Parts: sequence; C-alpha cells; structure tokens
Amino acid sequence: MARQARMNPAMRWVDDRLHISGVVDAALSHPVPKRVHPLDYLGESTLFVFINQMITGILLAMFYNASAQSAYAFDPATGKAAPTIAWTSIQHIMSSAVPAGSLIRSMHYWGNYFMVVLVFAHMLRGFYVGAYKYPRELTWLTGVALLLVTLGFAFTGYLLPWDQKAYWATQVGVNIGASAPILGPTIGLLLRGGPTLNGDTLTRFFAIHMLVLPALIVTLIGVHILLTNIQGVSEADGLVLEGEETVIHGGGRK
Amino acid sequence: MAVSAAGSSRAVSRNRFMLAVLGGVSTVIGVFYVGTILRYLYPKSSSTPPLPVSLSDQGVTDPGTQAVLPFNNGVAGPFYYPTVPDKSVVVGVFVEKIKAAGPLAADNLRVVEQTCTHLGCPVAWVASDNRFECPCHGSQFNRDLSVSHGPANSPLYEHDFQLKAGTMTILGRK
Repeated sequence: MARQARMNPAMRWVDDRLHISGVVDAALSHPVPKRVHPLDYLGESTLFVFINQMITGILLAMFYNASAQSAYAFDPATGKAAPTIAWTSIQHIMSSAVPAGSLIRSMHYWGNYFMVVLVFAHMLRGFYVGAYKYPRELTWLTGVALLLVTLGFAFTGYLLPWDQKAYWATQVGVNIGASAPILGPTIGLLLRGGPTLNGDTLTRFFAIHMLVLPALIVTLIGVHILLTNIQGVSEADGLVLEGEETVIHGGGRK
Repeated sequence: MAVSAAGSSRAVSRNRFMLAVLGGVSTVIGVFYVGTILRYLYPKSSSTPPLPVSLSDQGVTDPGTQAVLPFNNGVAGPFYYPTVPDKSVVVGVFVEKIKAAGPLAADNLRVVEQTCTHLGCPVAWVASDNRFECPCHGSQFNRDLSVSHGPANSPLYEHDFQLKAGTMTILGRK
C-alpha cells in the first residue's frame, strides 16, 4: 500500500483493479550507474530509428502498390519492360503530388541504413564490454534474432521499389540462398514463388516485409527490453538500489 | 509406473492418456497446417524459363536477312521477351553465329540466354573484347560460351529454337 500511496490517482485506480504495480515495478525498476557512456545508448538509438521506420513504413503503405503488372503494355519496339504499378507508385510518393511524400520515403530509405549500422554498433559494443556473459545470455540471443530480422527487413524492403537495382540485387541475393547444397533450389523456389524472379516474388516479399517481420521484431524487441530492464545494464552489476540492502546482480561483470 | 494405490494409478494414466490424445491431435493439426503452408508457398510449376515465345513479336522476323539481325562479331541481341507476360518479367537472349562468317542458317545459329550462370545478372555482349561480360561480379564468357573469367564456373545457357517460315521461336533451355 505504501507503493500505492506514491501513485497518481489514475494509476491507483488501475492498480486497485488489476494489482499490477508489483509486476510493473519488477519489470521496469533497475539500478542504473551514475556515470554512463554515450555508447550505452546505441540500443535506445536503434529503438528510436525502429519507431521511425514503423511510422514512415505505415505511411508509405498507404500509397505503395505492390503490383508488378505493367502500368501499360510491354513495348516490343524498345524491348524494355514498361513501368510497373509498384515502380510508378513509388514515383508518385516521391513526386509533389503527395505532400511530404519524398520526405517520408527518404526517412524510411535512410532510416534503414541507420538501423543496420546502429544494430551492428550496438552488437559490437555489447561484445566489447562482455554484456553477452552470464546472466545476460538470453538478451544476447534475442539480439542475434533481432539482427537477423533487421537484415531480413533490409533484404525484403530492397525489392519493393521494383526498379533495376532492386530486381538484380534481389536476383543475386536469392540466388546466393539458392546455391546452398541440397536445399538450395527449394529455398530459391520458395523465396521467388517461381522459377524466375517475378510479380509473385514482389507480393511475397511485401507480405514478409509488412506482416511477418513486424510481428517478429515487435515481439523480440519486447522480450529484449524486458530482459534488459529485469537485469539492468551490465555496467550496473553490483549496484545497490536506494533503500534496499541486497545486491541486485551477482555475476555478469565485464 | 509402479504406483501402490490403485486409485492414483488410474488418475495418472487418465492424465497421461488425455495428454497423449491432445498431443497427438495437436501434432496432426500442426503437420496439416505446416504442410498446407508449404504447399501454398511452393510454386506449382518449376519448369525452367523461358516459355516458348516467337521472336517475331520483337521484330526479329527473318533471320535470313542481315538487316533484321544486326550481327556484331557474330552475335546479335539481346532480344527481350516476357516470360511471365502479366508480371513484366523479361528474359534476354542473344542469337549467335557459330561461325561468324558463316551463313544465317539454323545449323550455324545458336541462341544464348543472357542470364549469368554465377548469380543470375544479365550479361552484355562486348564486341570490342569479343566476349560476354557480367556487370554484377565481373564474370566473363568467351564467344563459344565457355567461362574466360570467374566467379562464374559454368558456361552460359543455350536455348533450343526453331526456324520456320523465317520466324525464330525460342523453346527454352537445352
């Protein structure tokens, strides 16, 4: 009840009914060292960029049209593939027809690079300070999964503009997977949805980029942050919470 | 399971029985779902591209005439045609004379797919170097289709074709 006395009325109202303040406290309260290094914020920076990707991604999906059908007929005279609906929808977003469209799209485009670089930097920092050691092995493992999901986002998102660079880069990427022994050809067919990279590949990658990976990454980020909050940052090992007498964490020093 | 009391023995076995039944049913349902998902995702036709399409659509109507097939050191093209018409996927082919100075007859012609055998980028015919070159990772192929420079390690794909009434029809990879 002492805890409840410190709460604002709205929180007390909720806690009276759900009795969750103990759980929330256990999950979110953790010792933080007084002196922190800027590199300790790489994870938070990645989270910020991810939220940017989420917001701009949802906005892009309102105009993007994942169809590889030609906006008009194939032109035999030039032998060139006619612009597709997917490609023209990106051009539409980038044009002045969509207010702030080029800003939103560029934020998503560059955010991807920031995200990948920050994830790698965050991983290197964790490796350097030994944050993967006991008791944080599970945090590290969810981090590995998050790295793979992030690269999955980058790979599937790269195809969506459906231009020459996107098409051939994905052709190369899929064929690298398809050159694996034994399972390779099956992997290639499952990724492409056909013997060649075609419109089915585009919708397939779009579905993975929009539905499968977001569900995965949100779940994994939740677990990753929960684990961090339960255990505290590795720098804080041996710290004592104010007003408590027990050492929160025994092991896992760098 | 050596349990002395008959009653508790029955309770345990009923528990285990229900667990086994539930586990079995869940496994069957799970396998059904996974199998259906894989069947759904696995493309129906895995035949190699491209589909047989007449090059006459591309204006390549008369291989008997030098003017229609502009040979460059014995290689013409690439000519593009859609393999999956509604999905805007095109495959390029080169038409190549086996003997550069030879006649424009079926037995002196060869149809070569543009796809690099390394990771699938489209190769270009570079007449000044007298070879096919890939823009992605630098593979090079001689005029006889063999590899002259890696990373590719197998020759370019040849296609079967037909010459009928002055029209060339590409049939697919040999």
